[in-house]
Amino acid sequence: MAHHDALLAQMLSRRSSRRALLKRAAILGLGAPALAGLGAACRGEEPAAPSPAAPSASPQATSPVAGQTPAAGQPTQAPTSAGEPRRGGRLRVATTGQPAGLDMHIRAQRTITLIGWHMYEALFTFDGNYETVPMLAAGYEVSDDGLTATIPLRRGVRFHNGEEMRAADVVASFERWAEVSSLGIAISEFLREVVEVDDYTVEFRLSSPLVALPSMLARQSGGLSIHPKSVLDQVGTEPLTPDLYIGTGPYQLVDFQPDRFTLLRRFDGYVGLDSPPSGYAGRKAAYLDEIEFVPMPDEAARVAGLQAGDFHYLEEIIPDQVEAIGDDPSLNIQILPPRSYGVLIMNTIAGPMTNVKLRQAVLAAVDVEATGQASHGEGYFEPDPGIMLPQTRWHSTVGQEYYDQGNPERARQLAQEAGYDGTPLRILTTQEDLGDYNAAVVIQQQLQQAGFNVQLEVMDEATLDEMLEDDNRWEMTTNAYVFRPDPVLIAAFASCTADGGWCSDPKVEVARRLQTETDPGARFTAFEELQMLWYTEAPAVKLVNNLGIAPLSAKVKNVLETTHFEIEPEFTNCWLEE
Amino acid sequence: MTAYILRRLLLLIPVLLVVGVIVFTLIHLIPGDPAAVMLGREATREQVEALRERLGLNEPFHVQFFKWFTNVLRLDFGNSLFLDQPVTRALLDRVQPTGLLTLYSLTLAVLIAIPAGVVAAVRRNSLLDRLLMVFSISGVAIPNFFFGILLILLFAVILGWLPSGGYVDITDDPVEHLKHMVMPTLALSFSAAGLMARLVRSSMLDVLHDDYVRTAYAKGLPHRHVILRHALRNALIPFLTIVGISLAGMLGGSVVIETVFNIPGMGRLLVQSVTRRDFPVVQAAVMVVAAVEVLVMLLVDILYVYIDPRVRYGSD
Repeated sequence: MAHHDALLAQMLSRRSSRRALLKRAAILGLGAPALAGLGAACRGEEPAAPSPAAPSASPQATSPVAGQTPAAGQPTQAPTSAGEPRRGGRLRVATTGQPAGLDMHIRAQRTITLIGWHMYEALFTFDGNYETVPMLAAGYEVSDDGLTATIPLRRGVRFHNGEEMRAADVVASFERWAEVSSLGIAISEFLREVVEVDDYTVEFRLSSPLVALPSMLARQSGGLSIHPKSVLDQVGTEPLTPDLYIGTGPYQLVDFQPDRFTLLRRFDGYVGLDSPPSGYAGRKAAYLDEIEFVPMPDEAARVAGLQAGDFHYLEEIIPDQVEAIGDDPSLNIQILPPRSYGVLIMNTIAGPMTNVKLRQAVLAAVDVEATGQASHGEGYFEPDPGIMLPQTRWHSTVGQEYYDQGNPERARQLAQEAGYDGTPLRILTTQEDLGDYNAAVVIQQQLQQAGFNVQLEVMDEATLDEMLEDDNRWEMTTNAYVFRPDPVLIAAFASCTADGGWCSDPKVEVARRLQTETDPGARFTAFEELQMLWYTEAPAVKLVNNLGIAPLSAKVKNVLETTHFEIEPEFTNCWLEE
Repeated sequence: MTAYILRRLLLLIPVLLVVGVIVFTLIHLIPGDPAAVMLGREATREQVEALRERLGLNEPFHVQFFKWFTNVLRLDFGNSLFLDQPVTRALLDRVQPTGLLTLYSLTLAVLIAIPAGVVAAVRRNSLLDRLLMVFSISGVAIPNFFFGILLILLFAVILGWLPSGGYVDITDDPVEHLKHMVMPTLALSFSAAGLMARLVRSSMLDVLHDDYVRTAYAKGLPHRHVILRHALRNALIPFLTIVGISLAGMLGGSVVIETVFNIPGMGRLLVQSVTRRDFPVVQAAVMVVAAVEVLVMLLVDILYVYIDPRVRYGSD
């Protein structure tokens, strides 16, 4: 226990890196949930300072939305050692590439998520405990029959073009998003209409209850960003052009030069919340004058730029580079809770993998720890049977007896029962994602040891994307499921159209309950049934959780304390040291 | 001479069309769906299909080709699929970084190679000659991207003298522009300088033993005068060809150097457009590079006339 107390004290004092902490915690035998708890404890309150953003909004409720009870109470707030806030400066971020525009409705790419949520805001967002809380919404009410969801809006919120946000803007944004985004299309199945009740109230009239609606409308990759109706009327479902990248966020677009940079500047008319920062929720104090995002596809050059002080944050860094950097006092490299987990997806639509016994045989053959060692290296992954990441309240170990079996004998037996005749099984992968590629190489060897005839087909990302569209050209592929706070936000769980096409009657029925059950306990039960189906129907093999890495300059203060990194960090409430 | 130049310029048109047709065919034959790349893996098949339709990618190959070809004849290269802007604009935005990088690198390479080659030839087999040749062999042998990363480590990470990458427009801030271009220029010019220095040395060694050089010495001309006015001028004829070829090599090398130093130039655009399967940009960028190659070789041919009076083209 003394060890645990010391560990906690270290965490709060922030003298020890989280990587070191994770290693020590592993030695002490702390499980992932305990670490997640510690991580939450570490997130402190933003230093008491008036928001520099202009007019302060009237206090708004940020309590969890109806039907969603916090699992672990309110975010823990601890004093930070970040010092006094300093206003000014330009934060420079090196991204992995040039985003294809910044229209979040149409394109759900990681870099767009990183840049876009500084400019745009959603009706709801996720707080320090990953609970869904209002952002542009002022609350959330559902009728007794669950078929009418009323969302009052905050008043006085301004877009970057000076217009005030009103219900008509929300309706126009939703209608466009529902037409062009995969998540929007998923919601449309439950929706009869969205109506503007008055200037500050929107009503969603549903065909069946949809308890996860706020989470589906919340801040996420490809989420519903709110734009002025006047802007959306100009483009319809065509992509927004840079002059129309207008939202309500604390930063506004100044310059968008493809392959050179994207420059955001503080929006002086920003009207935010007054509640303490918590995850992606609460006050967003724009201390930084500007944020510049520079596309740098070359990994080594990106890291050299961070070391040289040219960048303050890298969108991505691979573990090998972290080891190569060593202990550089000018940097602040932090290991974070997992941001994704690896999966070996099997093609359940066509070919030999439609045989569930054969899929179970593959599941039995895979030793996931070896894939983690190959794809990430020691200290950068954690084995975990949960198909929702441990920092969410959905984490469960149901079905863990099927996880990480690494049992070639059982695999051989199951393959025999499946009538496997040695047909070549193709694993498609790409070296553009080394983690996916390395995992695929290890899995190929493990399956071969279990008697499978496996071919590894390596191609570039563009070719892989096209190959996966044809169900007759692949049996397995490696990928990662990125962090989502609610299982209904993961396409493979909520729909039948994700890669692999997992779509059995029991799965569809459980997924439906997960979306519509109003009782939190019943929803969790439905989720655990889904996780059990994941292991018994074996549409994919869950590999390891991939720990997040935050490659920061030591000059950036108060960022780890005030934002999540799972759905990309927000550089509000942080500042640059002189 | 004028007729020769005009004839060469006219030949450029069929050359570019052939290049364009080959690139169009190849880029459409390789697998990879631009719509899927743009939308990411989370997109549904319906979304990908809708985008393909909007971009005109579902049309038969010959229809796409005909549209593209007729537009190219009107100098309209179409719109970038990924950048959502006219290809001409995308290319023009990137001409300056690549053009200046190539110009700086070529100039530096020539400024290094000529003195190094001349000194090495004049002091043949001396210690200085050997040192210069080690330098030139190193230039040829070390890949420029590796040399570039070494430069970043030394000058940006360890010494902190220069920015690790990026580009500043020369009209915005000339000093910052030069600071950003120092390392890329060094990296790109190193191999060309090595190759050119070796060539100047061997050419100089050839001409130093020619009769006219011996005659010049016999006339009592100063050593410096003989070397610079008589020997070097003749040695420069093969050197000029290498300069032309090096320029082509530098355009190719800029693909890598621009990626390492994060310079938003044509080279990086070309690489990224191939990755993104941005067909119109790839087609136009390759045609531009081919045009530059042809024009540079034409320029080299014209310069021959001025360096070597014996060279004549056509009826001149």
